[in-house]
Amino acid sequence: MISLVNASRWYQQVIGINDVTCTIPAGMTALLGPNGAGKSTMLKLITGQLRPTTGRISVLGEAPFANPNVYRKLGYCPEIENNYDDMTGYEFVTLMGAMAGIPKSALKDRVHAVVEQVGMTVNAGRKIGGYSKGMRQRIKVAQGIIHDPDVIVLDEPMNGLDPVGRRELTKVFLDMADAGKCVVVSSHILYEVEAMTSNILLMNRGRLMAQGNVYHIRSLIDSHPHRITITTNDARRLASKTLELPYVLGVKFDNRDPRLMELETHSPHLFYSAFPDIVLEGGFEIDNYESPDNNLEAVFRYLVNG
Amino acid sequence: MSDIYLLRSALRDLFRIKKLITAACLVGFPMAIALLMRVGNREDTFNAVEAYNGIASNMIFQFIVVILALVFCTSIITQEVEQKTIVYLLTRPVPRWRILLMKFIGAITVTTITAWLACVLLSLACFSGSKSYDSYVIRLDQIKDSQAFMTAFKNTPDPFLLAIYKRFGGQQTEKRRRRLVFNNSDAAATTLEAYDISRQPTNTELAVVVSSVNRILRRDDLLSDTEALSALEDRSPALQQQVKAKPTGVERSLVERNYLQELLPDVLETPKPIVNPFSHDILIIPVAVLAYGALFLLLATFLSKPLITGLMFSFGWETWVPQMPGNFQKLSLMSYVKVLAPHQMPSQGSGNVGALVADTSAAVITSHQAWVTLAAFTIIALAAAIVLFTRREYVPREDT
Repeated sequence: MISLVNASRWYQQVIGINDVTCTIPAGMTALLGPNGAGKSTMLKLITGQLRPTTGRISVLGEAPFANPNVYRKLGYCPEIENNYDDMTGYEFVTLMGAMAGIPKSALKDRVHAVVEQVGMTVNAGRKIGGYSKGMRQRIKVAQGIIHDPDVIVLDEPMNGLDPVGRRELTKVFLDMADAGKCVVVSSHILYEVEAMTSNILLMNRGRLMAQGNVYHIRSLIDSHPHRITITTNDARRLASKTLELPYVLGVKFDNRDPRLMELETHSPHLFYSAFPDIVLEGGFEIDNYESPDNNLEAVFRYLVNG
Repeated sequence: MSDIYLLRSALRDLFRIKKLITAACLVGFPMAIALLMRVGNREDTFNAVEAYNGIASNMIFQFIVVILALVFCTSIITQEVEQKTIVYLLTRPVPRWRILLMKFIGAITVTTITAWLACVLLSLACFSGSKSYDSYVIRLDQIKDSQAFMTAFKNTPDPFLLAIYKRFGGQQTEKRRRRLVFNNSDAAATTLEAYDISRQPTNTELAVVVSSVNRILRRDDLLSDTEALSALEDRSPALQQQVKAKPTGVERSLVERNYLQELLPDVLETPKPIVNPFSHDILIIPVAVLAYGALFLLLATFLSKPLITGLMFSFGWETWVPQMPGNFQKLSLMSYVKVLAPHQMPSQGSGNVGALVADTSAAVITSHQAWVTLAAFTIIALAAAIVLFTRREYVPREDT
């Protein structure tokens, strides 16, 4: 539904995004990257606020810049906290709905439905100027989905939300994705994204680093060393045992904690199947073992720093 | 449908308390000045039309209209950009030109209503319970035969003209500003003395004499000078009646001018009566607001701080350029507005030689030219603003 072909955008000398090529299908996609990675620039390009310096962008088959045809089917929840502070939540969402072309007869019901969907029914009658960060996020989401768009672009929608709010909005987004809409959510916080989708676009310093299912990305980097930390009563002896395995590349110890060891392997699955036997044979006490690499954060850290 | 909502929200935004207070101060200001003028003048010297004209021209047209158009029309864009809310408008399926146009209409409406209000209050303060008088002032373009005018004063058998002539010498000068007045009047006497009646007088010679006559009409009570009136019996009954009514203030000056008019029927043109310009002003205010508004809107589409540029234009360019010699006034919007909404202030500068001469030498813009120029300017500026607004990116950069 969204496609970028060699799209770059820079501001004078500063590069926003650099030669990004990707397509974003229907369903939920997370745009992931640290601050300054170019996520917002990419979303502004997709939502037609910016024009690409080079390359092409199309949303639902059309170039999005200042294109009402695209905006009829596209909802956008910007990152900014600023809003029309003199309006109430209802007035704001109503204005946005009217501008989105919702006929007057249907507008009021639709506004109420959307406000309820984002959990703002109680507070929507108050002026936005008095809203908390979380309320602002919710009302921003409401204006983005008021016209039931096919493509919904949300720039850091979870910022400032409490856990309950996060869960509620996540459900709203997932429902839309399940209904076949294209939902793009940007975030720099991994666990937010993990709760929503496994389909990610990973960005760093303006470049698209990886795209696809998080497990695919995982397997992409599986040929690279994988770390496992183990807390045990006899780290030295366990280390020598594990080093006998052909797929264990090396072991490191922690100077501060003699109970802690970290080993590297390029074949974690084989290691995990062999590990219980080693422990039982050697009579080791294992307090804890974990792989810092076995979550999105590690993929992320690896791709970003590697 | 979306247009109505846009317009409504634009209007609501313009009617915010802070802006309303500023606007209210501006609106009341001309009225306050007019009331002060009424307090400061005797009742028979307060000319309502002239007070209105002076304040309407300087305060309403050259100040309130311009400054409100500047503030309201630039805020259409700058305010949305500064508070970053412009993104909500630009990611809607409403073409950008419609967004801009609706907001422009809102700003123009509010500016016009505010200026109208100022105009209505001013006219109430000026006209209620006070009199308007026609102008007694002689302007150079009212003199049909300048040679005859000079000759009439130089070789006059008429006691009324003689009385004026005598006053050129400065016998009855005001105590205040004595030196200045005396010197000027003296200049008139000297000029007349040096003038050779067989040739046309120069514009300056004529202006020196006319300015002194104007000053005497304003200041001196010729109607209680029995010597000046010694030939009154030969004059028309209407004039005799006017003189015998012993008018004071502006009315006295007018009767004196009538006397001159009757003495020099072929030399002086009968002055046109001054019309109350209020209703005409009400018509022209929206025209001025549109022209200035379109210009300031254009500035706001491509400048990040249009207010400063707008101020420099309004009170720098618009003030100084029209005063430059030649056709420079054609480069100022206000010159055209002034042609459409003329505000005569005949007694202002009527005693000043330079002002009288400048008045006749000024390049003239016809009202047809003014309409065409202002309309064309408005349309071009608005179209340019729309084109720029449609093409530009309005995105705050710091969070990229």
